[in-house]
Formats: sequence, C-alpha cells, structure tokens
Amino acid sequence: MTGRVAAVLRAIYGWALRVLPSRAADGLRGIVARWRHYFPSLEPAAGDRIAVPGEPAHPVVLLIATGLPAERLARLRDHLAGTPARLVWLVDTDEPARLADQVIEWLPPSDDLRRAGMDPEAVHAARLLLVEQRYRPRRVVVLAGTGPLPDPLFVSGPPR
Amino acid sequence: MTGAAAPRVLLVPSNGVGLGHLTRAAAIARRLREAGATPVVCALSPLIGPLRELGLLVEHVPSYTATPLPRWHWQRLLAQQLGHLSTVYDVGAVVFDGVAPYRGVRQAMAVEGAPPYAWVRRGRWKADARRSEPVGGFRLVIEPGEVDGAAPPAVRGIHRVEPVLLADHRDLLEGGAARARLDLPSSGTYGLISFGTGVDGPLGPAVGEMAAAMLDQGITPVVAASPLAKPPAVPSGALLRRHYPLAPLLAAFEIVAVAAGYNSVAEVVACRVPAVIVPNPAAATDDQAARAAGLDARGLAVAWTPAPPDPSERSLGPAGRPERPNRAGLAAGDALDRALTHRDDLIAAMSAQPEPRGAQEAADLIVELAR
Repeated sequence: MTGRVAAVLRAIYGWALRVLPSRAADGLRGIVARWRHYFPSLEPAAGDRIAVPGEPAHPVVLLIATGLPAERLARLRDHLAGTPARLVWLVDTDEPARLADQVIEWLPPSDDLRRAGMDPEAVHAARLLLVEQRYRPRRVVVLAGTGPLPDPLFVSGPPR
Repeated sequence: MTGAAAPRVLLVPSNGVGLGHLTRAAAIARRLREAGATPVVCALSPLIGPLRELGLLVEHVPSYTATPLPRWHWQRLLAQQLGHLSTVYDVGAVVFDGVAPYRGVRQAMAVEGAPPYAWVRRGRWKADARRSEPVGGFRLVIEPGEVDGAAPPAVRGIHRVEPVLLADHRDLLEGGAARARLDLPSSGTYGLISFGTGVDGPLGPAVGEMAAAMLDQGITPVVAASPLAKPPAVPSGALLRRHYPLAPLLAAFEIVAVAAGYNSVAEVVACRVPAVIVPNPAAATDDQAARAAGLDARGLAVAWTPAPPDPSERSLGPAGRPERPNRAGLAAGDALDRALTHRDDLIAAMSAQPEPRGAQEAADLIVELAR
C-alpha cells in the first residue's frame, strides 16, 4: 500500500472516529483492528484519551499514592469520596481491590523492577508520561503515607 | 527487541475474580524464568502479592468488572497499556491466557511493530459453548492438555502440550508444615473443600453436604475461599481458610473435595492427594463434567455431581420421590466413602501418572517465538 493511500485511509478513519458516537466509533475501531494486520502500514488513529467517569465539570485529578500502606489508601479513599473531582489513583499497593470502585493506575515497586534488571526511574517516568497523556489531569497531588489527611479543597482546587 | 539470550515475555492472564488463568500464566512464567527468559505478568486480577512472592515482575490493569470505566474505554485502555508495556519492557512476545481475546488485546496485537502474540487457552469446551476459534494475528496458539489424557480433535495451527500446572508433588510442604502454614492444629485430621467461584453459585449447597459428610467421618472440613471473594458462610463445625496458592499445602489434608476446574484437578493429581471432584455447572465454556467423569473413569479421583439446589429440577422416581441424588449415583457421603476406601488405589494411580511438562513445553514454544 502506498504511503498516500495509507494517509488518506488514516484521515478518513480519524474523521470517522471523531464524528461517530463513542460506541459506534469503538465498533469501527474493533473492525479496523481485526483487519489491520493485512495493512500493517495503517497507523493507529489519534484520540487515545480515556474519559474518567463522573461529573464532566469536575476536574480530573491525578493522585500519586505510591508506597502507601493499604490501610492508609482505604482511609484516603473514604476521606476524598465526596470531593468534587474525578480522581485517578497512581498506586503500587499489593491490594488494589480496596480501590475497586476507583480509576487506578498501578506501578510495580522499584525493588521489583531492579530485581528484573530494569531501571525503575525510566519505567516510572514513562508511565507518568503515559498517564498524563491518557487522562490529561488538571491537577497532580502527591499523597503522603503519614500525617493528617489532606483537605479535599487542596485536592480538587478552588471552585471555578 | 531484547537480546536473543534473554527475551522478555509479557503474560496477560484474563482473570478478574477467578484464579485459573492467572495460575496457568504463573506456571508458564516460572518455567520461562528457568528457560532464561524474563517474564512480566500483567495481571487483570488484583491478586498481586502472591505473584510477587513467586519472584515475578508484576504489572496490573484492573479488569473491566473492577473499574468504573465504561467498557469501551476499558478496552482502549487495555490496548494502550499492552502497547506501552511492550515498549517499556522491550518484550519479544506477548502471551494472552483466556477463553476469548479481548478487543483491547486484538487492537494491541494489530498495531504495526507489535511483538508477536501467543494465545493459551483450555481445550475442553462444553459441547454447547460458543467456541472462540483462533483469531487472525496470533502467531502461536497453545492448548494445555488434560490430566485424564482426553484429547479433542486436532486443529491445525494449535499446539497441544502436556498439562500445565504451577505446583506438583515436588513443591509440597510436609503435612505438619502445611498445617502450620494454614494455622491448623497439628493433631487433627482435615479435609479440604475448595469449590472456587462455584461456592457463590450452584455449588453453594454442596459445601454443606460435603462438610457434613466429612464430619461424619471424623474429618474436620476446611473450606477454602478465594482471597479475592467475600468470605462465604461456613457450615457449623467447618473452618475457613483463604490462601493462594493452595497446592503446595495439600499435604495438610487427608482428602480433598475440589471443583473440576483445570488447575485444581491438575494440581490435585500431580500432588497425589485423594480427591472428590465436583463439576461446577455454572462454568460457561469449560466442560467440567467431562473432566470429572474422565478422572473417575481412569481411577484418578471420584466424581461427584451434587443434586440441583432446586428440588423441582431433580428427576422423580416412580413413587414421586427424587431418584438417586445425582447423575453419578452418589450422595456426598457415598462419594467421600468411596474416595477414602480406595485411598491407596487413587494414590497409586496418581503416582503412576507421568510428570506433567506442559508449562515447560509452553515456555519453550514461547521463548522460540520471542527470539
């Protein structure tokens, strides 16, 4: 397939993904995915943002909560339950089921990465970049493992 | 691509609440490591701790049922994440273990430059199950074999390997140590009841029947529950334990009654523990009744099919009374009696089984794919 034909197809595909309702767009994406292996030069379309459920007017907030014990995470989850924000948790807990009703991103602990011969900083940096592109958070809040729980206003930001 | 000597392999087991696919992926990961590869297990199940204790590098994407994301966004997220992990870990191959590949997996697989994908799937399908045929794009499809030797008709392009299991009799802790690990007093005689996800479904009443049968024999029933599920109600006189993986601790038990899922059955036979095997009728695609019957026919275990919980579903005899309480013609006590009476024969038959090398065979195929 020539580059020009691929570019045209890609443009049509991207346009269709933008104008179709999300369910139909995903149906089209699935059909294309099934057939794409016949046309390996067809690049994936843009639009990889993941919508965080919740009130659209509320900001998406990324909570960095790595290294926190599961009990602390559960307390933070309850404490921030009514916050006017759509929360995404970045965690490395062994008990992610405690956050089953939340949007979470999970990172392997640094020691595990080191043991596998990986550079933890490189893996974590790549993941943070992906998460930022995936959810486009308006705020990023680092949660501490000890001390008082944060004021929800600090998490959501002042009302707009 | 990683160096040819030590390819990295990303394993993606499809479990959310159950543990079968996760256990099989852990088994293959263990053998991959022994083969010099570096496995990375991307678990959809939240059971991360036990995998880390096995020394595996774990990634986690919450399953669809554990996230508030809409299904379509979850599929997109899965596709993105598989692409990301493939790049970050520079993997030579991706291995999906599940009944049917998710759309997100197929999307990730179809992206240009994606590593080759393999699919590990059980081979024993129910006759009325909607079977997922190999999807174009998988470079390798592996079907783990059955302990009773049953082999479905050969299908072109599918590699059959011996049974795949995480632990066998070489991994067993001695009885006293196993009882200590489970916090069971060393003086007692214990029987395990492990019906997996069936406890919350049609096998719920069978727990009580089997526990009563064990108590009648002077055996203390120990009900195993998934660490991921809500603890079930336990019959009077029974104990509850939530431990994963359970196979290395099977020597703690005089007898076990387990659901006829792939891993439970393979582990029980490989660990040579006399067993009553109970098919879970709620299994959507896995032909557990055939597996239980196959083991019974080969003298490797005793099959027990509990009566349906609804009396109206039971067939009635001439006098309007229920016929024998199940298709196998056994009540729980009869099945347990039979297993205990033939305990030595069962152990001898299990000991005569060849060492299952399926995980090693699968690992070898995957390493070859990754290089």
